[in-house]
Amino acid sequence: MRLPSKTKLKILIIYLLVLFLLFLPFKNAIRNLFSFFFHQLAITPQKTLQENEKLRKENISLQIKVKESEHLKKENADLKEVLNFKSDKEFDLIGVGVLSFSPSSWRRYLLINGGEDIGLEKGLLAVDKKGKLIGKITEVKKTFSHLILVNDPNFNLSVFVGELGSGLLKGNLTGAKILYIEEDEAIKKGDRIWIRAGSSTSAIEVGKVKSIRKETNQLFCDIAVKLASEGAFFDKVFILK
Amino acid sequence: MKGLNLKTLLLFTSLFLLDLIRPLGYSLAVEFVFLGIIFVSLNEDLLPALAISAIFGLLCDSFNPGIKPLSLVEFPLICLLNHYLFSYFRLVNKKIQVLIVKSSLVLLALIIHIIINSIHSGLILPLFWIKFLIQSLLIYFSMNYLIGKDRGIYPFKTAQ
Repeated sequence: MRLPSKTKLKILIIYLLVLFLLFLPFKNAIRNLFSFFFHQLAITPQKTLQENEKLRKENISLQIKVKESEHLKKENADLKEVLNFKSDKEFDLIGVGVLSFSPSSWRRYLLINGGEDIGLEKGLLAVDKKGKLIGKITEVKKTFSHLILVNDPNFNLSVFVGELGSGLLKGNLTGAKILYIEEDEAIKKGDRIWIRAGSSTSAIEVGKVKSIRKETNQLFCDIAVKLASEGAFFDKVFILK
Repeated sequence: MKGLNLKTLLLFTSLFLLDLIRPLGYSLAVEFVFLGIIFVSLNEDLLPALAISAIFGLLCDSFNPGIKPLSLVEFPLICLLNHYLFSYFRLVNKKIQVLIVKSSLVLLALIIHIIINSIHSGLILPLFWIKFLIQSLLIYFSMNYLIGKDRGIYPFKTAQ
């Protein structure tokens, strides 16, 4: 049977549409196949040879570096043993996720995903991934805990300033300050502020002295602190145990 | 209760979640739930607005450390104050621009919030206050522009 030309055209369009729809899901596969063949054709054997040569050289240089680092590692371990160095791992680090922040802008609290179930206790200190102090645990429940950040107005912690000084670190939302430092303690701008976690000998960095001010009638200096952990957002914290 | 619908509750739940998650950490000094309370106090009936303020004030307190129910007391009071002041201004001068009244009341509520929290924390931080005010106002007006339309609240409309 002969079809009229208009109907033929319609059937052809429908046929093409069906064909197009059938091949639509394989669009990417077809494109990838095409690019693969094109790439294969484009690469000349000479280029492959050059690349092989370059990789061989890189491999040899990396093998030398690996041997060198192994030697350094062994030497370091030997030296530590001889000098009776204490192991770096003086405290356990427990990584916990942050569940939520305090809804108030006047508080700096975190709710962390771990409590008595993972052995957390009130007063334990928390550090960020770089090992800088970010806060301490104030309340422990069975599966979660409250962590007060260093810049919360209710945060208090005894800290060392420089080599000899010590004072009380107190948060003030935008940073922190140190209270009860007398003028004769020889504190200067840029001195580091640090603490010792528990019985450990390692120092944990808190920040640096930003500015020192002393009024004439004041007994103690007014010391502003630039906190080491400046991050305003945390998704994971590490508890020192 | 008239007006305490699912839409409002969903909106507040989202605002509360935003406060808890804090997508930009503490660099964004904004309390989304508080802005929502200001919004409902100026655009909703008094009773549903009060109910919402009390519920979310309690929720905020439960996520804040300490035992003082600050938000539970503050949110309904600000809601009540805003609602009555808005009704009063519209009553005394019918030609007054709604936008001006609303903006002034938003600013007033934010200032009261700053005063209460500053007294509570015992800190005087002018730079932080300015940051809080600017960011809160910006977010409030964006929120008002985005969700005010479908409730028939047009910021530039003159009171009838």
